[in-house]
Amino acid sequence: MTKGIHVLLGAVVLFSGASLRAQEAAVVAHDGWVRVPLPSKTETALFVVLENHSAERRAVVSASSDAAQTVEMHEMKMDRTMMVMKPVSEIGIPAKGKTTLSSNGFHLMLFGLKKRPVVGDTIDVTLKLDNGASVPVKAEVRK
Amino acid sequence: MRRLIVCFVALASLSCQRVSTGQLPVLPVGGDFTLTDYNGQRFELSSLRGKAVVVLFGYTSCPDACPTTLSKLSSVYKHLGDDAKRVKILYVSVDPERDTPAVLKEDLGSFSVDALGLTGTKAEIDKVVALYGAEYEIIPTPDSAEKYSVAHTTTLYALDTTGRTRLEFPYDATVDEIVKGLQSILAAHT
Repeated sequence: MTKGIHVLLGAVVLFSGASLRAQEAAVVAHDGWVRVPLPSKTETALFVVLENHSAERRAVVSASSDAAQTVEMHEMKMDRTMMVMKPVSEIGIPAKGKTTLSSNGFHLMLFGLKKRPVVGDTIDVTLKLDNGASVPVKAEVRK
Repeated sequence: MRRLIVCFVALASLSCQRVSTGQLPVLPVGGDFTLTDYNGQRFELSSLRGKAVVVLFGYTSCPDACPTTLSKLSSVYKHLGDDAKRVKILYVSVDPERDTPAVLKEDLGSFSVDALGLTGTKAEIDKVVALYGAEYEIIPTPDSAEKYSVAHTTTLYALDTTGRTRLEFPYDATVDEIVKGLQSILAAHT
């Protein structure tokens, strides 16, 4: 009986691990980059492409990085001739689709950079999704 | 909308040939103004007579629109070649609280473009913004590390060598369109 329970628990653990890996792989990030910050600034914007291979809509609900004190999700929108930037609480990624974080749209803001990045550096950021999965992002520092 | 149409018509004519400023309309915005430059000196637009001038409004904490525009203007400068010496960029900050002259000088210096940063009191800046028919709005963002952002007009105002506004370039204007526009303005004064 005890042996049976151990087998069952082992199966559950294995299944959970496989399930989590599947969730993590469902959303992938690529072509990440950040603009080298201006000389007086300790913040910069991060752009990246997020692809959702799953059949369910997903959303980024938070982000973090060892390179910055805080990482926030923002959106820029043109309102007539004005560019308006505001923080947002999530960035959606459609099922079997993608969301491109780019100029004139969603982006991540890295505030309080702990070290001044230079062109060619790579900054690692972790995105947290609404299903609990994490998505690693590698962002190249560009001019 | 009226301004967009004027700009579209002007750009359409530029795409066909290099034209003189005589063929460009004088737009009903702009005019002389006085602000403080990034060296802490009083600056008068009238001191730039003889040069084509590009006026833009922004703030150095702007995460993307301003650096994108300044990078684009750096490319414009490269394409202009020797004509670049006859073009001056005026970057009017709409965030005088954070954009001190020292900050403006440090940050604008990272772009390969002859851009002079300008600031002033809120009243002085508001006057220039109104003069050019531009807009800006301070947006409090208490939950963000930045505390506030500044929505602002992204239009580029191109002035001829006598200080009259001849062209407005929208945010998505290409380097080629801006180069041709500035060349047309300079052509009348070669």
